[in-house]
Amino acid sequence: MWILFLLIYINFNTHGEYWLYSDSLSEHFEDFGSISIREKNIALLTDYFIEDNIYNTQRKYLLFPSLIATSRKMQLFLGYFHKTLLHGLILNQTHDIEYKRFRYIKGISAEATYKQFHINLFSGFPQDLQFDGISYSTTQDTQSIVRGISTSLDLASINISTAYLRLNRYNMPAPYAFSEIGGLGLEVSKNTFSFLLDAAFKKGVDFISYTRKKGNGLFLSMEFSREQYDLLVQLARYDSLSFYNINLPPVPIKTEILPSSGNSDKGGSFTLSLPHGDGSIEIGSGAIYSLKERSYIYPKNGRAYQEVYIETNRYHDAINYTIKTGYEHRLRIEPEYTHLKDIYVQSDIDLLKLSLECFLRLDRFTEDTSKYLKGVLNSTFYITSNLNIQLLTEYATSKIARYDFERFWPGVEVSFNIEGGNISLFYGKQRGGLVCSGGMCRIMPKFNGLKLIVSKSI
Amino acid sequence: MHLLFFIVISTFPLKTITTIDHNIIDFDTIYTQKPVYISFWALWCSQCIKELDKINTLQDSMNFFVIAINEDGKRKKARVRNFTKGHKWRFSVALDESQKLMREFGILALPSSFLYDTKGHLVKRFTGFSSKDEKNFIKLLDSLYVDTLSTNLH
Repeated sequence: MWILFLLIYINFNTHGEYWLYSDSLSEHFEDFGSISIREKNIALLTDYFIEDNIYNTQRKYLLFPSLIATSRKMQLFLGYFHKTLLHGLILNQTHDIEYKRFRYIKGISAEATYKQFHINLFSGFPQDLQFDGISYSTTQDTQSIVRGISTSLDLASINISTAYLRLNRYNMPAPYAFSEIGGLGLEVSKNTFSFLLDAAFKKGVDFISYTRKKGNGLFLSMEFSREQYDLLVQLARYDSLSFYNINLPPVPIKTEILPSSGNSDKGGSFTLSLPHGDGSIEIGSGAIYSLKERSYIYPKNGRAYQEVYIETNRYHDAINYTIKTGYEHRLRIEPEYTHLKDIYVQSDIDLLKLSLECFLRLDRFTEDTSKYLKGVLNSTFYITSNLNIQLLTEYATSKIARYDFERFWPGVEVSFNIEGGNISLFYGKQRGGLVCSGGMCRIMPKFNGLKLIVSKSI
Repeated sequence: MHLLFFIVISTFPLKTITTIDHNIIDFDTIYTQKPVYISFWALWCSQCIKELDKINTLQDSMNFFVIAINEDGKRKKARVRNFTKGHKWRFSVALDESQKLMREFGILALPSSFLYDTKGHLVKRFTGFSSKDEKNFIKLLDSLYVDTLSTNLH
């Protein structure tokens, strides 16, 4: 007779949402979460998604299981995994909970570490899942297979990394046609200075025109850090580097807009952060232009995006008071002209037994020939440590805006904290975008009706 | 006859982590000394930043170890470092480059934070962080000191 004891660690997390639209009375239900079971060096984990709404003919069940074996020097990953190579220049398959975009590679990945040297080999099919505002959609790109290798060498303050990726697509008219992308990265970090340079090249066949195609890209970042300030300067130049939605190069401006996703972009920015006693100030400016010789979308040397911003944070610990103010000036020219001036004030204060969080935002938009103002006022009242009520209002002076057909978006939300999670009930209209409520932020699509949201971890 | 027992346990989940400044933290030597607070955050998450600003001030007066794990991805590494310097965060910040930690901890929304005691047991998981959570956090941390102190006295 033998007796075997297995010490296992189990983790279960779920986030369920039920929506009832007030105008059509149609329903939407989604639940996503993860289950993981770990026994010393072996872990089994799966992400799951369940969705049921009028856009699906039947309830959608999706599973993304993985098996991970880890030792001190090695790790083997079988199943669904994420990977970023050279800061996105070569590969960017990531788990983005902000926009509900889950970009997996389904396959195998092996990593080994020897002293300061790290190597990773992987192979698999890209498989993406994305919430498009009304429903989750999957891209099962079984026509492509990616194979890659990356290395990294960590010396005291220097990191040298290399990456290579090859993509084979089996529905090509020419057999054995492939595309490849590779690059080199150098990072140097000293106490007061950081330097990062990534360079990548691409060659292969254009899957649409079946012609030979070459591309390249450079990303440079320098940071000067002192006690009184931190200055970040970023520059990028991408020419036909876009790799079939598999890579996404880094964006040198704060707004994170890369107009042609690495096909024809050049730009730069600076960000100056000034910490002081009870807070901080951040000042920045940046612009993205289209390349002269690769201007598919924008006119020659057209200015695609420009930004100037300043943000201040101030805390008063004694009365538990925080205030954040900001000004942003963004300009987008071609193909759509948008001019945004945005001022915002956010404050939190504890008043006797009542905690209040207030957020006021004023946007002045100029789009083509129309101008309008938009305001947001959110107030959260913390009744007890577990219960809060949030009043949300958003107002625009005009409904001519390109994507909005409403002028007023009121809403009320009651949230209750439970052990390892919370339950919240919302009623009203939501304009969509980033919504922060009950101490938590998430991206929401446009909505009008009732929502019940339950999050729980065990 | 064969018997198979499963014992479900909650142990400290991190062994080592490399910070954004290339320092390697060995948690085996840390979590036994003082409570550890692991916070998952992102630049777009205003509540996360408020939480970590508060944790930064609390760290001056209370003895606990903080690791803030960023989920913006490797593409924003430089911007994350610039932001943390601007906010004068004195705790360690790490980048979850391939979202392995996020999946292992089962993070579905930000901020999500975990408080561990000196035995490596999970004391509380915070999903979201309000000013009321801050008060709960201080109470929990105080009770952990009392427990540690009484264990040491015995």
